[in-house]
Amino acid sequence: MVWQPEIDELDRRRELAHQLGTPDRVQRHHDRGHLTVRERLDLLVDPDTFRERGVLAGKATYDDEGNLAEFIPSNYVMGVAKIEGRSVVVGGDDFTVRGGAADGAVGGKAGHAEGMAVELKVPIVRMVDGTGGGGSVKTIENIGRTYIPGNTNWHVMTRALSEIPIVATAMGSIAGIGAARVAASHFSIMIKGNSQVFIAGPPVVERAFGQPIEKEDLGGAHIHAHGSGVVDNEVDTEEEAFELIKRFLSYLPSNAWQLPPVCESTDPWDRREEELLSLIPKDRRRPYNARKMVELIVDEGSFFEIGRHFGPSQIVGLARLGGRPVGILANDPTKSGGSMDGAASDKYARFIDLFDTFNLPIINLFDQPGFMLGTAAESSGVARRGVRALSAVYQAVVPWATVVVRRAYGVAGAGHQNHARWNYRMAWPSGDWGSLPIEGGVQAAYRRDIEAADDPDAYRAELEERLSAMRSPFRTAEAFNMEDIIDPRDTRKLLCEWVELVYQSLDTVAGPKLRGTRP
Amino acid sequence: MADVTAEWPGRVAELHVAVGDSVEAEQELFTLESMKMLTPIPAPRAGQVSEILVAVDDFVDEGAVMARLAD
Repeated sequence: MVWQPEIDELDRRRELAHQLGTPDRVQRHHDRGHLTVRERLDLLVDPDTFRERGVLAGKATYDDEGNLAEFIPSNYVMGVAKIEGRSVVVGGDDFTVRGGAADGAVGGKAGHAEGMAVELKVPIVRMVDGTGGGGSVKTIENIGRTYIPGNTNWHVMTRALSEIPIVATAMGSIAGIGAARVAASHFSIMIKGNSQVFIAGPPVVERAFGQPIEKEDLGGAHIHAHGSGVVDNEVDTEEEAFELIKRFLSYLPSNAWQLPPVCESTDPWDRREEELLSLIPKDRRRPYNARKMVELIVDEGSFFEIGRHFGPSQIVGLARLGGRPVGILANDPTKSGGSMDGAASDKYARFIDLFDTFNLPIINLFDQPGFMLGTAAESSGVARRGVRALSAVYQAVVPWATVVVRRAYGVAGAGHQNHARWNYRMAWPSGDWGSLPIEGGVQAAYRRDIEAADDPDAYRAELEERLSAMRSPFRTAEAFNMEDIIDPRDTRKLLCEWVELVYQSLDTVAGPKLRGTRP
Repeated sequence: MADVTAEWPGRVAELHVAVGDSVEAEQELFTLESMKMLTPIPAPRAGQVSEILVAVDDFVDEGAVMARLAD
């Protein structure tokens, strides 16, 4: 019992840490509909698996005899835990202590967690609930000087993007470095109506522009999960966020050196869906339900869509075929006709990089009329953002399969695969492709002839008809310019077989990719 | 009140509702034709069509209000 007094002090200090901020602050946090950081951890990780690091860190005051009088714990709680049996690093800001401000973490605990995840080569989950990096300008008074901003540990966070899965959730109103930690992730979530993300919050913005603004209007989910692309998915409750985190991680390996976790699948490979035969309308102008198409092909219930509302003409997500995880790309013809605009280009590039980083074979169910046209698209820089996406296609080394379900037009249409390597490519009988669609292309190519004709409209129609007769995808397949045309109902079986085949040698592409990964 | 806006520019090809109709969220209210594609314009939420501001063959810009929904 020699050290019993010290053990008693250890227990007491741990207990103080578990009390978080003052009881009234915890109460206020609950009243706003938030869980505390420790409640969040309990819901996220497997029972009894959280091994905390740095529970003793905090700011203490002592009485005249040198006994601990008061203790304010570090506002960053972190450690190693398991999620669905797999080891991860988890860390979360404690809003009840100094509003979760990063300088209340004490001794660089947040950076320590990032470094730990990189060294252990396990995913990291960031539950961000902090009001900012420097916390406040009060720091100037505390240290008696100003300081040049440094973004502590950014080199570790940057490296982590290329090596381990990073999931970030915005749990409250978060600004500055907190917002940066959410955006610098592979998958991010925010709580509808109860979390906001911004570079700077309402008081700073009001000072800058002289206009008051509400936090929800400045950085709510309707902005970041719907158009800015800063956050991928929105949920209604914190509990739903934890379910999404678990689901996202279930498709990914623990790090870039490993293969995605394969699970048992009860869905038969030869499930033939009659609906696929009628899904694409004969009228080329008509859209269809592309999400339904994906769901009919992949393992039942396995499609997990990411960032639905950003660049919505491009669908991205994770799924399984025969229990093996894959990255899914598809086009939504109900949004801008499925064309590639600036946001869709950014999304295409970012998720090709994600799939490639974590060794997920890519399946591209392609129906794309090309880049978005018009003044708005040109002004948004679609040409540069689009060619960036094409570079991502050519840098990816994971196995790639493309099913051209309908259109592939122009430079963007060519981006359905890397034409300098072998790809598993096939088309549905609805396949329709070229440099320019015949309707607009005729006017461009035969302008002089059309203008010189006695009846230009009739001549244009005649030309269109003549060329359309040669539009059958079978003619392309004759020339082996399209490797195969398949019965859409066989798509699932063929892709299941291909995925099984490529998983046999998938370890040869494992490891961090030369291109690195940017958020 | 909620505005139904054009998600991208185009010609109003089809009109599927009339003033006074009750509509579900995501229900197709208009069809726009642009870039040789017919794009559905869905209801942003459930409600009753209180006003229709476009007619078939009108050209609308991106973001243009096409209809208004009342609760």
